[in-house]
Amino acid sequence: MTDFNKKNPFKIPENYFQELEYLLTENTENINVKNNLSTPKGYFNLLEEEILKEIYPEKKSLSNVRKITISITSIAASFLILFVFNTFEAPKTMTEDQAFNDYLESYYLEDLDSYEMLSMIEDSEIEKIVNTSLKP
Amino acid sequence: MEIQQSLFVNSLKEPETREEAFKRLVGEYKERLYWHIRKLVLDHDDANDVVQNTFVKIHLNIEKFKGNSSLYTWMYRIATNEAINFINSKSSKMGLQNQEWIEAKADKLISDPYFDGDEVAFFLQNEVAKLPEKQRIVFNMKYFDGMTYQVISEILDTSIGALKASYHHAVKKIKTKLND
Repeated sequence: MTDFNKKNPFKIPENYFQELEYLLTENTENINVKNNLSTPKGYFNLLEEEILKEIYPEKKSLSNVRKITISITSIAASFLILFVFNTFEAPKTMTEDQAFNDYLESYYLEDLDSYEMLSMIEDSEIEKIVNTSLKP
Repeated sequence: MEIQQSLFVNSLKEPETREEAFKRLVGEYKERLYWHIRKLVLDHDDANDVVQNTFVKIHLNIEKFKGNSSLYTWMYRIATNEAINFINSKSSKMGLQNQEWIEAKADKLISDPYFDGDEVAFFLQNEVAKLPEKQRIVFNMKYFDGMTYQVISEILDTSIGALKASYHHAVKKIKTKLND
C-alpha cells in the first residue's frame, strides 16, 4: 500500500473521498442525474418499509387484525341472516298484502251482493256496526 | 455467480428463509427497479405504486421462477410488464391512447417538483415520450440506464438485431428534432 502511494504521482484535494462518498450517496438517494428525475428525500428507506409491510404484516397487528376480522365477520353474518330472513319473508308478506288489496279492490267487491259481503265480516263486528247505526 | 443466485433463489422459495431473503432482495433491487419504472411512467407517485406492485408480484410468483434467466432480468421483466399494464389501464380509463397519456405526462414534467431538468432535459423527455412504446423502452434502457443489448434482449425477450434497429430509429428521430 505504501509502495503504491509512493509510485502514484497524482494528488487529490483534502477530504476528497469523504466528499465523494457524500456526493455519491446524495446523488443515489435524491436524483438520477442523467434524466433529471428525483424522489422525495429518504424515499427509498420508506419504500422498503412499505413493501415489506404490505407483504409481511406485523405478527402483533396480525392477531389484532384477526380479532377485528372475526368480530366484523360475526356482525356481518348476523346481518346477513337477518337480511336473508327479511328478504324471504318480505316478498311473502308483500305478495299476500298485494293479493289481499287486489282482492278487496278489484272484481270481488264489485260482484258481491250484500249477503256475501256480510259473510266476510265477523259477527262481533256486525254487532258493533248494528249497535252503532241503531243509536239515535 | 450462478451457484450464489441458485442458493439465493432457494432461500426465497423456502418458507423458513423466505422473509429474510426477500428483505435482502428488496434492499438490493428497490432503487434499480424504481428508476427503471420511473423512466417509463415518469411520475413519482405512479412509479411508487408500480414498484410496490412489482415486488408483491415477485413475492407471489417466486415459486414460478425456474432459473432459465437471471433473477435480475426476470424481475426487470415483471417491472416492465407492470409499468406497461399500468399505462394501459390509466390511459384506457381516460379514453386515451398509451402514447397520448405518456405525452401528457411528459408535458407536465416542467411543473413537477421531482423533475430537476432544464429546458433541454424537458425537451428530451418530451421527444422520448413521442416515440412508439417499444422504441421508448429500448431508448430508456440503453441511453439512460446504459444497459447492454444482451441484457435488454433477455429482459424484453427480443432479438439483439431488433433492439439495435429500435434504438437506431429512436436516436435518429430525437436527433432530428434536436437539430430543428
